[in-house]
Amino acid sequence: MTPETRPPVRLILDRSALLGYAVLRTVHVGEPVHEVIEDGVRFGVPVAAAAEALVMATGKDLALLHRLLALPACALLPEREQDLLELTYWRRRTDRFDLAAAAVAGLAHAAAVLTSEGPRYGDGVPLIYFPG
Amino acid sequence: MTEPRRRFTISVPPDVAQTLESQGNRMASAYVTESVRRRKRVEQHKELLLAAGIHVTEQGLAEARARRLGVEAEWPQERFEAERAKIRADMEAELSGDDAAHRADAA
Repeated sequence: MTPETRPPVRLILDRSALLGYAVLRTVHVGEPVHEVIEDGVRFGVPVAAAAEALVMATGKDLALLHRLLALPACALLPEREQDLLELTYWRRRTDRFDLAAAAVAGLAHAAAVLTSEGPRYGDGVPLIYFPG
Repeated sequence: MTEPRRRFTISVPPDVAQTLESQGNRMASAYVTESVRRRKRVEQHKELLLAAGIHVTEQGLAEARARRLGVEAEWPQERFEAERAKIRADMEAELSGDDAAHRADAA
């Protein structure tokens, strides 16, 4: 039997995208997430971004965020030892660890970061903006 | 670990039969499994969108897909690798005491 391969991660959600989905309930995040799922691939969420968003969401928003993170199409991405230098670089550049984790996840998975905080990243990583 | 399996006999129209036959006997099961799981993932997310009150449209989905594929076209694998290599080289130079790398980065 051929071992099952999991679909690749083709889009990264940062903290702003997670909150855009669960708190703002904006179609500008719902649609990018849904089209990724329709295409049979996955969206990735750095653990650091998930933790930040989970802290900020409350009540029904928190429950919705939890359901989003539990979808089979969601890949929770832990920080990896081999990315230490890149995480340090992006942490210095963005001044936030969750943004650094999103940038590194984007580069590691060759995927764009969906964000409303584009200016904080600058260039060096592909971004898809949504109005926050 | 191997998942438990159940055997089914199903009837399919000729075009589907042709697709499954082209996969070969063993891969046809994997093809059907992936197709069902993919559809299930879409249905699960539709339910979540409905619960969230987020109303997606076909046009919006097409535009979102076009944006993502546009970014993917601008960022081939080589560009990702080049960005990562540059960052690692800069950081390694800085950690080895080469302040020039840090100053260039800060500028």
